[in-house]
Amino acid sequence: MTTTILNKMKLSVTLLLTFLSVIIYGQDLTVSGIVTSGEDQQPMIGVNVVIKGTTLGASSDYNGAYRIQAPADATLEFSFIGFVTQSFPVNGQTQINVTLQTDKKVLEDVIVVGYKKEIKSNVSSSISSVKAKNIEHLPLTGLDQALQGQVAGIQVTQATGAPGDDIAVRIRGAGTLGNNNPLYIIDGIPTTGNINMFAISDIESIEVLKDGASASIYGARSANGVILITTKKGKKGAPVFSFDSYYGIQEANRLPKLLNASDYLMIRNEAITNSNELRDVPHQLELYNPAILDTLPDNNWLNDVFRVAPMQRHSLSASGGSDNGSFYILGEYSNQEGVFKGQGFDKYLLRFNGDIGKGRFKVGNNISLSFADRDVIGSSGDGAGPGNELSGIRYALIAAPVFPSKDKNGNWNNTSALLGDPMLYGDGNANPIVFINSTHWNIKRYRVFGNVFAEYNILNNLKFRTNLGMDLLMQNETIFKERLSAAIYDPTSLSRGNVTDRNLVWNNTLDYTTSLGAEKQHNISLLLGMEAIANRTDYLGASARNFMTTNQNLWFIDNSVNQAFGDISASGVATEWGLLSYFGQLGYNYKNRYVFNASLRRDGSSRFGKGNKYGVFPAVSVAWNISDESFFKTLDFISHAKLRASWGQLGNQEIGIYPFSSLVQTGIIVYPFGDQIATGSQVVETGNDKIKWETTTQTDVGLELSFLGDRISLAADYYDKKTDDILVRVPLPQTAGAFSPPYVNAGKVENKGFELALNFRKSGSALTYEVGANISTVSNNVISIAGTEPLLGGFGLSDGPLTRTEPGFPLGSFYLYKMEGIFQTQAEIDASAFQSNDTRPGDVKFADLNGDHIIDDKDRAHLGNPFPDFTYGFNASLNWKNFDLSVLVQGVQGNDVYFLYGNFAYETQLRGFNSYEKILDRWTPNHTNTDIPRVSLDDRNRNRRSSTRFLEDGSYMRVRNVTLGYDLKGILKSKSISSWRVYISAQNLFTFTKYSGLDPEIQANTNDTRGYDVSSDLAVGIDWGTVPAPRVFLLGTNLKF
Amino acid sequence: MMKRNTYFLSLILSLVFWCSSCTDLLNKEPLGRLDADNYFKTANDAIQAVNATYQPLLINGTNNNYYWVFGTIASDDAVVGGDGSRPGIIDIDIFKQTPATQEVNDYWKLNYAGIVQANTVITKTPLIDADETLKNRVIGEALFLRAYYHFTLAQVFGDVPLILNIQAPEDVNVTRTSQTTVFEQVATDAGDAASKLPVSYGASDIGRATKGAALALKAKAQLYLKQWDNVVATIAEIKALGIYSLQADYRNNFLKNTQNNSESVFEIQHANLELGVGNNLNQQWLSKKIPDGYGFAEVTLDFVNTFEPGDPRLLFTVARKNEDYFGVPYKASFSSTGASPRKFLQPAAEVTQKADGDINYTFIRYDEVLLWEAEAQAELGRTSEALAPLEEVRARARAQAADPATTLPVITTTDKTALIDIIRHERRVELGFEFHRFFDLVRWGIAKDVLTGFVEGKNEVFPIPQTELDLNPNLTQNPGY
Repeated sequence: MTTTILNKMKLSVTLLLTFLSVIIYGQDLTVSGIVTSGEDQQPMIGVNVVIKGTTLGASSDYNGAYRIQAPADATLEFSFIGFVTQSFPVNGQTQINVTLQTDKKVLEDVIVVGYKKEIKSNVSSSISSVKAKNIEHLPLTGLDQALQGQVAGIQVTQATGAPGDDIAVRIRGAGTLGNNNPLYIIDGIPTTGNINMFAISDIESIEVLKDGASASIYGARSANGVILITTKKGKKGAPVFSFDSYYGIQEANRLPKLLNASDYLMIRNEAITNSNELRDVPHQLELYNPAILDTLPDNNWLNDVFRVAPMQRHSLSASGGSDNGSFYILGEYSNQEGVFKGQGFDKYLLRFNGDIGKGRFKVGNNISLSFADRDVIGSSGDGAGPGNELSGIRYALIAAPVFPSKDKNGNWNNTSALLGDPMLYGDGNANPIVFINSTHWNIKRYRVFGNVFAEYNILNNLKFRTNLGMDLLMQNETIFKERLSAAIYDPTSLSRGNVTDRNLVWNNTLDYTTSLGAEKQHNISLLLGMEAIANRTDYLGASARNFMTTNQNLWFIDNSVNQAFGDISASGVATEWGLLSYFGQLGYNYKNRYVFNASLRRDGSSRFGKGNKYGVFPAVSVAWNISDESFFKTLDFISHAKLRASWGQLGNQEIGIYPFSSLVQTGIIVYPFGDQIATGSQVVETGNDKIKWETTTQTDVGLELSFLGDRISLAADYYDKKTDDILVRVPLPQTAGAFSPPYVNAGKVENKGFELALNFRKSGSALTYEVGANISTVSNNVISIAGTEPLLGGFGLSDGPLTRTEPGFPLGSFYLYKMEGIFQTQAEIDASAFQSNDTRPGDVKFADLNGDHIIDDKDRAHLGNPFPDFTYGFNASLNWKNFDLSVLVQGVQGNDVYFLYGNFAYETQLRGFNSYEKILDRWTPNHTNTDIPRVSLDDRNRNRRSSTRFLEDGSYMRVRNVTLGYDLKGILKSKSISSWRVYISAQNLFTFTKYSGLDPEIQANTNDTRGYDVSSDLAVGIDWGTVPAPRVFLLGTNLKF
Repeated sequence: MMKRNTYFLSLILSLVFWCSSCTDLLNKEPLGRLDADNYFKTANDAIQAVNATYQPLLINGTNNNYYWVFGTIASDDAVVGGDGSRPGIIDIDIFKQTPATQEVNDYWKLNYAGIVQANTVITKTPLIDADETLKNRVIGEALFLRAYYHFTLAQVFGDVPLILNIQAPEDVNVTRTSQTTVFEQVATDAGDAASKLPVSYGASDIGRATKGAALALKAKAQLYLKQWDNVVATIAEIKALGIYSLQADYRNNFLKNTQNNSESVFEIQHANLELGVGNNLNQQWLSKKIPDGYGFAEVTLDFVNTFEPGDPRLLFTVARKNEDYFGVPYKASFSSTGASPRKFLQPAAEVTQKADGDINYTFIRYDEVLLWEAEAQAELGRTSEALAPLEEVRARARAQAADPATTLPVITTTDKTALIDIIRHERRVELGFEFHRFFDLVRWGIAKDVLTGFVEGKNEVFPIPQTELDLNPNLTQNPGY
């Protein structure tokens, strides 16, 4: 930093001298010449030519020619993106021809590492970067899209297509049975959630710290990897204004076809007939007369609940800087309506980043204020938990097509309760449209996120930095549920909840660098620091039942008409946690050729038991820039080669706030004595006072290579990541009580994998293109759960858990019966293992895996893996003259998805629910070549049991983004406008998959992870029917002046 | 320059170390909820804890308390109705339940939650500093409830884990104890409870376990153990309390305003407060032809026909064609059998929500105590001693008949076998649809003769839940499942 200041001073001096010389000589020359590219010797258009130290300049024309008036003693500076800037003194010449060389210093990019920045060649650990230039020309809606497919080793999943829904980010697999979310550090301030509240246009760079050595400096929160986000700062020079805007439409595609009314009735009658064969006389079901179809509607509910929805974003930013400081200002509004009715997401963002310096002292800030306003309708069919309860898609998928949707006046109605035949109309009493219209769920989030820092250069090479950060999230949630029936939303109720989550961070670092030796060949850096984090979360909520008015202006607790005892209730709770840490980092390199780095962090956490308050997390890494060796210089097609190896230990403290403590809940409503309510108290969680962090030990070896003047670059990594002492709530037998079991340090999980990223780029005067591809594998394996019983997950079905986590298998491995086919004859049934007395031809044949001739619970086995064999991304960008084109493709391959909604899609139920049209392919005596069993309402053979019947290949390849832009600058020739780009863009244009659900991109549901952290991976890839990611078409513009 | 830097460095170091002294950051007491270490210090803590022990008794919307499915649906009194939304109940009706049947798991889980809570109260209450009478009462209530939960578990599952202490984390993989030992422990716990509990409570504590309730539970356990002498002796203690008598009107036991009467020995309370403590049988059992009714229980013809001519209890228990059914005329189409149960149902106007009924379930009524006495005496061969309590029960019913002179004649037989059959029949009609019948059939060893689909040696008990077997390797499955 000191050198920068010195340089600035030098620059000021130069400026002054230049100014003086202008006055003294007052005599300008006209200098002209041709600029060519060193790569292809072609003339270069648009090269900036500036008189050094002034803002006076010109640019080269189509023939590469430039012309500029300059003082005889001036220096001309020639610059072009991707090329090395060159300076030439005029020295009285009038003709200066210049050849610009492509910038081979790309490898010398500065990247952000823990608590500081580092030149890339001095980095010896595995870090992937996404820079603004990779993403800023794309109309991305969230951080997920900035990372998805862009970086090897990171898998990003949007659980549903609902706007504003949370995302799941996994770096190098899932290392723990608990929370697998990475830690985010935004401008030095840590945060964990709601990452989509930040403006994507603010991002200057994203660094993903993947290995042990890079992440270890974040200690007890680093085990799932760390994502460093650096926001944009102003750059020295004239202010730059930028206006960005897009508008587009979204549509749901790949919607399944459901049965129409006549097929629905036909299938029901067939199922009734099949069921009656096995029912005794009093329980025989009556067939429906097909003539009733004339009186019944034929609804396509999916058409009614999905819509074409708009989305837009508009932002204005200004940035600039001088020798003393810089600023960056952004205001942004975005809006995304859901393709599913009732969903929507509005976001307002303000940002100010600035810094100002004087001498050795500098103070700066990064502040963002945001407000997000989200209308929610549950978007996963499981109907439980955050984001999924109040699920509209559930009703849209299962509601019978014959359900009378509108009354005589054409209003949506909800009369099935009166129709009284749940076997025909469904029991849910829910018209999906009425359900959506009766569900008013709104979440407003207000966030202040930022920091103020001060830096002082004690010595030229010793810098002190103190940084105070705050992450303040306030959430205001309103749920108004209008009564639909005795089963749904009864009685009408209003609930409101406020959360205030405050995170204070203070960190201090001392950063020292020095170079020793005759040639300054020994370069040493030392960083010492401390960090203190204090978090407090407060919740206050109130609800009112029997809320009479549907007037939205009266949706406040005060307006509850009937304020009788019991109609209004309130609740509140708070949590606090703290972290106190000391850390150090030592770097040494010899001529930048042999690089050694080591770090150590000691974390104290309030979450750990009394005897285990402090964890120590060490890391070392080495790198060898082989291409700097003299023997390597002969291999001139290789421009750069680096080998690196690292080892580090990481911690995870995300185990709840008070895992050491047994908690008693008081004031629970328990029982009426003498017709008066009594409250009670009971232990709701048991603690473990020996609890400590989990430790992940990761080893990584990597190779980085660049060929042909950096035109081709490659980075390959192999890693082995072992997590020990995994904290998990081992489910207790129910005989031990109904409370949450204690955490124990019980498990060991291993993730191993390869990552490969390839990049090819070519810069020319007219045509520049860059193609990147990455592929990552992860092999996940549970090594031990410390002698405890298998951990079960996927509890959504009464048929027993879908997943079973135990040694030798991946986390959340699917544990199922195996479907062998369909029984074709009674003889085949008789010859097979016994399933039930009621098994008939057309029922599913399950495999007798243990060979005991009886199909029972012992015939379940590990038959599916929720982890993909590999994930990949491909991106290409091309600039030709004023056109630009980008394509981003992303995919996962080889994971299994449990299509739980298949219980409805490929089945009939006693209650009148709709099915996929594909059920017409069911087994009948006349149509036997199928894998869909005969229809039956009773399912005596338990065809619906958790089996491979509903396990599907979840592989998909998605064309995430295609954007075509044109810069109008070439037409406008305006001096004041530096760029005016217009573009069209499509997102999720195509999805290639064999998966039969609505969207193969799914994560976890609360229903399935019940009893575990919802961020755990013990029950992922279970699809209850989700709102799919929409296809989007956008029109946008970027104006820079 | 150096000097200034020295100052600066010391400023930094003092800043950093100043914070290191604020170790408060690392010592966070749990907020908002009581830490177990700071809990159970006062009399109120003990009362709150024992209150929570009652919660699993409720037949409400959240407990999934399916005791009625085992006691009544599985019996010859009822068949399952409903819309099929609870396949497990259908399975149980026809003895096709499996270890994965949801209702079986729900019941297991619910009752053990009660037992664990009771053990906390029993272990921790003696340690607090409070009035001894109150402590005794609280411990007595918890002992009673622990006995109750063990009793019903042993009824449903046979051999079950008997849990009498707070379990250490390493001791959670419990094993099963024989049904006999469990019933013996129930008798012991109930006896201990009786010695600590008051005979009655003030109005605001109605519903808590009383001395009489504990004695009656003890008698019931002894009945299941066929310790006939002990049954007779315990019932003598109940009678000696002098507070129990039959209501003149049988129906008083099932009406909102006449509950908790002199006949009530242990009554599980429900209230229509919209706080989740209402009886949801009011919805589950209401004919599905009535709005919001599920109609899960339908009355068999066999049950209807078992009543003696003119027995008024048929009308008090069962709704049939053209009879008034909570304000509407009952139609044959209201159930697949043409008959629906009346008990635990109430007129729509009485409650704000169907699932939040406030008719209690009386687990032990005094008429049942009398029938136990009759049964025990008869089993002991003291048939003449058996006739008096039997007559007391029949006399009340007779008095409510249209023509008492010709209805429910006084029983005079002294033939042991014949009398036992008569007493068993009397239990069926006196206590119809009160969740006793299936357990009685099993206890008497006649289930196989009466129940279609019942497999002897298997269906006497229900399967241990698969989820539990998966979690606890020390558990074994019941034979045949």
